[in-house]
Amino acid sequence: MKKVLQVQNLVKNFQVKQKKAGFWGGLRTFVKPTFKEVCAVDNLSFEVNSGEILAFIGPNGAGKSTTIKMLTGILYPTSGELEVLGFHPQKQRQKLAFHIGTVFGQKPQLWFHLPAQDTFNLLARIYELDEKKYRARLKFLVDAFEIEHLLNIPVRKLSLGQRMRCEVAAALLHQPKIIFLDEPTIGLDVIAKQQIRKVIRHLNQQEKVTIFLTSHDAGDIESLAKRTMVINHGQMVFDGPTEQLKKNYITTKVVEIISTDAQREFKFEGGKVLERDDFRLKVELDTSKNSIEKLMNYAVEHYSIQDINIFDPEMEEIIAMIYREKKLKK
Amino acid sequence: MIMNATFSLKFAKYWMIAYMSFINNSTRLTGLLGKALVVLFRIWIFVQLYEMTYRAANTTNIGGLTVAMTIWVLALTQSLQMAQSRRPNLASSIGLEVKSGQIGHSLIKPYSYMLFHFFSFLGRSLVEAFTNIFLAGMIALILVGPIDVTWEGLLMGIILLSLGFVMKFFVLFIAGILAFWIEEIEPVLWILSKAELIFGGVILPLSLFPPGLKLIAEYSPFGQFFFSGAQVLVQPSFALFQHYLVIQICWIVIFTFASQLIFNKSKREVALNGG
Repeated sequence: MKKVLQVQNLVKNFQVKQKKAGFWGGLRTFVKPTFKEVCAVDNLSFEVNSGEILAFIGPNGAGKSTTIKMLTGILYPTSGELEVLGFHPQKQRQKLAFHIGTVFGQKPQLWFHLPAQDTFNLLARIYELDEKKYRARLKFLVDAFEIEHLLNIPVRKLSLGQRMRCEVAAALLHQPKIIFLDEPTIGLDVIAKQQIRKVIRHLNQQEKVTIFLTSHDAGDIESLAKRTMVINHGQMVFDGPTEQLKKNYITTKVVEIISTDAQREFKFEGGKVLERDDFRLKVELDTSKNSIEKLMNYAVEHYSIQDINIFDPEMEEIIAMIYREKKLKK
Repeated sequence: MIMNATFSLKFAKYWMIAYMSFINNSTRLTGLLGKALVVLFRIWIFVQLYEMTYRAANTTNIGGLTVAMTIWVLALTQSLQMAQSRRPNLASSIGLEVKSGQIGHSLIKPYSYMLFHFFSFLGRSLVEAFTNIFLAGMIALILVGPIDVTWEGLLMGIILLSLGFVMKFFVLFIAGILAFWIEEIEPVLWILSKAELIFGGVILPLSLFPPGLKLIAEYSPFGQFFFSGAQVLVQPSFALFQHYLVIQICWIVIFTFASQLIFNKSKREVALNGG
């Protein structure tokens, strides 16, 4: 299998300026600034094969986005070796740019006051696309994301979900070989998330596009990625099949039941009450012992439900479990 | 043949950027007209001011310029200077990109960051410049009447104004990139805008300056942004054109090297918060 991403001993340190409080502190900082070195990525090594869908997850500040930004050439590593599709991302930024697509959830590339169609036309020129191929590709993406009715509306007037679908379509126009998706579904509704996932899956299966995905949404990871890497404090703590991660570490779901009779007795195998008040019951469900579906049925039968929320365990909790298991193995 | 095709593809992308910037700015008509009205108001004040000055000096010609010529020069320099002053201007936009890390995302697109901003600046400025010049020209025509303009003067003026535009782009680009090293670029922009007001012939044509100051202003980049072009346009002189052209070319060479040097050094300084 051809390797499209090769990372060896990657390190990224940031110099963070320290500022003392108060007027004199500020003046002292101005005259003699002091810096603290923060290690965002700490000796990371991994390889990705062509056609893989890889989830790259970790808690806030773990170094996920910093790693993606080094892989795409935005940031320079402090040390270590990087190769993306045979290119050196920092030295060959422009050449690499033609072969990769990027979606940074919080960094839009669509022109805010203009319709998305204008940005698509501009991107076609920027990526030097042949007019005929561009039209065909645009048609495919417009159909896949169902955005035809949005093309001529100024981007500022689109909802977040509509805008994000257009953003992802924009990143795919030039048929990249690798797509880096940094929180692509952040803040989206279920339908928009599913649409984005569907297209990503299609591109991976039909066009053999490699997908490198960071997300806080377990749904993205579970439904898309076969392989998952977990990082914490810039270090790799898990690299293996997503199934294994799910089986070993994502064994619980937290279900919040909003009900007027939340104080009624709760007795369900695999379920443990975490919190309870007059209108709210928070339960941790061991998914190896019972299913969410059965818990839903139980809740419907025993409570007058007003709302139900389902959460995945916190990333910090999963990492703590990985560390605990590593310690036990030692 | 292949080289031609490659060149035309590259050229097309930058023109498209200018076009996008042009239509993006055309959508904000209220802002455009508001600024044009400020130019109109200023021209009206200048007419009152300079008519009184010329009357007080009991002359119809100062430094080779009549009242009408002075007003037409100011109409041009004001229109062009105002065309690039809307916030955030080029330097502020680049400064914001640097601070937010957005610049990193632009660097991984297959275009030159500097050319992207140049053509974007061109597209944006053209909308405003045309609106301002059209309205300022109308008011100048009404208040002081037409002046004699020759085809040679027009051509020489447009060449100098175009090069002045390139110079101004470089100055703003460098000021924006300074955000990599200095925390706040606004004081730098403030100094630049005031220097342009004084030495740029935006309020007072350089022809009316005392000789020593006139020399400094002429050789400074500020006097070469728009005043030199405006002066040659209303007062055609091939010798003056050559003189200004040499100064402008020297500045453009200096700015090209300086901006390349600073920009290449800055690429390594890109810092972004992770997520």
